[in-house]
Amino acid sequence: MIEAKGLYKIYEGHEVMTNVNAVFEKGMINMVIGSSGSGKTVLMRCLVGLIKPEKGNVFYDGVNFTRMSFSEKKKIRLNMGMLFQGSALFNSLTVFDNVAFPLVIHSSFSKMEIQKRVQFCLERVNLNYDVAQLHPQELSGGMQKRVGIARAISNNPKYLFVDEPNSGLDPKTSRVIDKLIKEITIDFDTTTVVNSHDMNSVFDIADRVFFIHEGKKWWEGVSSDILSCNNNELLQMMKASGHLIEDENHTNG
Amino acid sequence: MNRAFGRPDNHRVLFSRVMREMNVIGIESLGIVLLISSFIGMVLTIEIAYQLVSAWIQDTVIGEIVSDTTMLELAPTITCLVLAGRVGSNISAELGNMKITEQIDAMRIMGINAESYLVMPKIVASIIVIPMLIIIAIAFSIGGGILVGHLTGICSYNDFMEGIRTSYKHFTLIFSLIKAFTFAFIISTISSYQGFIVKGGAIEVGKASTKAVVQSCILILVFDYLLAQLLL
Repeated sequence: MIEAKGLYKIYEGHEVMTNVNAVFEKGMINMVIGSSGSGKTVLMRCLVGLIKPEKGNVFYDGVNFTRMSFSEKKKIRLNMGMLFQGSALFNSLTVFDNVAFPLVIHSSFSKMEIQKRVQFCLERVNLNYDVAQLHPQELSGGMQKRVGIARAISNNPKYLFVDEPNSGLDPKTSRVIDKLIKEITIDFDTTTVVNSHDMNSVFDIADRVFFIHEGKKWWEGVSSDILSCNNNELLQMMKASGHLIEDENHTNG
Repeated sequence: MNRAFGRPDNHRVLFSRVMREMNVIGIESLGIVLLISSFIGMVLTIEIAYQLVSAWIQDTVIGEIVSDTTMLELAPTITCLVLAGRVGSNISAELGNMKITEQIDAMRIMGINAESYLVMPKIVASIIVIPMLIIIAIAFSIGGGILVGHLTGICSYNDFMEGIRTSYKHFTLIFSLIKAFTFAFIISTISSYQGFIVKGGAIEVGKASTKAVVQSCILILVFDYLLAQLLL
């Protein structure tokens, strides 16, 4: 379980996140939604410790992560996996080396064990082991996302973070990646936090939803309650995505 | 930058990264270093002969001045100014590109000390390999001088060698290596720092590369003066 308590973040005198409180449950897909520039990425970067909030703390299973030193954070980070918006694969390394990277650095696995683990991770994300010798730039966007997921799960993480998994992907590939995230969350029993503005993902895979707007959390609940919420901003977002017909409170299908 | 000198996550990986960087910084720069140092030696020989040699001055003076000037100033300083352009821009562009594409963030999420993983091998490799390049540059510069002296009839091989033997002091070579270590550290740290602080996109990466080269060159010249003032 990951808990955000009273997070504030200020950039150049402008408050980009204001008093955000949220509990991200284990074994569930916790989806943070909001339009572009709403503060989703800032929240995720605070959660993983890439930026430090001005106020507030993040707790991993009750342990205060935000106030830890760099070396203390490492222990928690060994249990983290993250898929970045642009995949963030290492261009100079092959797919194999990308997926093996955390294992080579941190584990005492033999070469054979690492090879088996990489093969398992690639097959788990429905990639043929033949792609292992390719470089990231030789792959399609969807395949890069899969390799990113394979790398994120290679160290068997307890916490999985996914930033805009569907950006730059066609709707069909987006659904495939969504399904993959759902399967991995169940298989690995991870606490999964997904940032998205894709309402299809919300209805397809989200267990809990957190709606962020102008740096504040405006609504939270289970995904099935989202259509009956009375938050205007969220309703407008759903209308814009075609999930809610104008002036009617039901789905388009 | 402190983290760059922190304990590495995996010593075996550090060793392989240092080897890779030594190849990139050293072997891949060898061609340009050989070319520049040979021509410096050749030009220097002709210019010294033009300015100094007369009936009153022995030909051996050409060898003396070429070897001393090469060791004290031209080989370490000119070579490192060229390396600041070639290696420095390469380092800052590589790290800057990794920064803007979130590859460095990805390393941090994996619990890796990104500064130590990326920067330390570059600094260690530079400190090892740049002094080696300087020694090679000295040899080729003097070699170029001997060759031109012999081919043009300015100075015979024996006179040139006699001049080198007369003027050679161990300290001159040590001073040259002290400069090489200092300049290697400047090039690798400034370029890495500029790469690591990039924010934005491709244009900012280009600007960071330019800044890295300019700042490295200025610091090389400043330390060139300071070392000469302090040690000679």
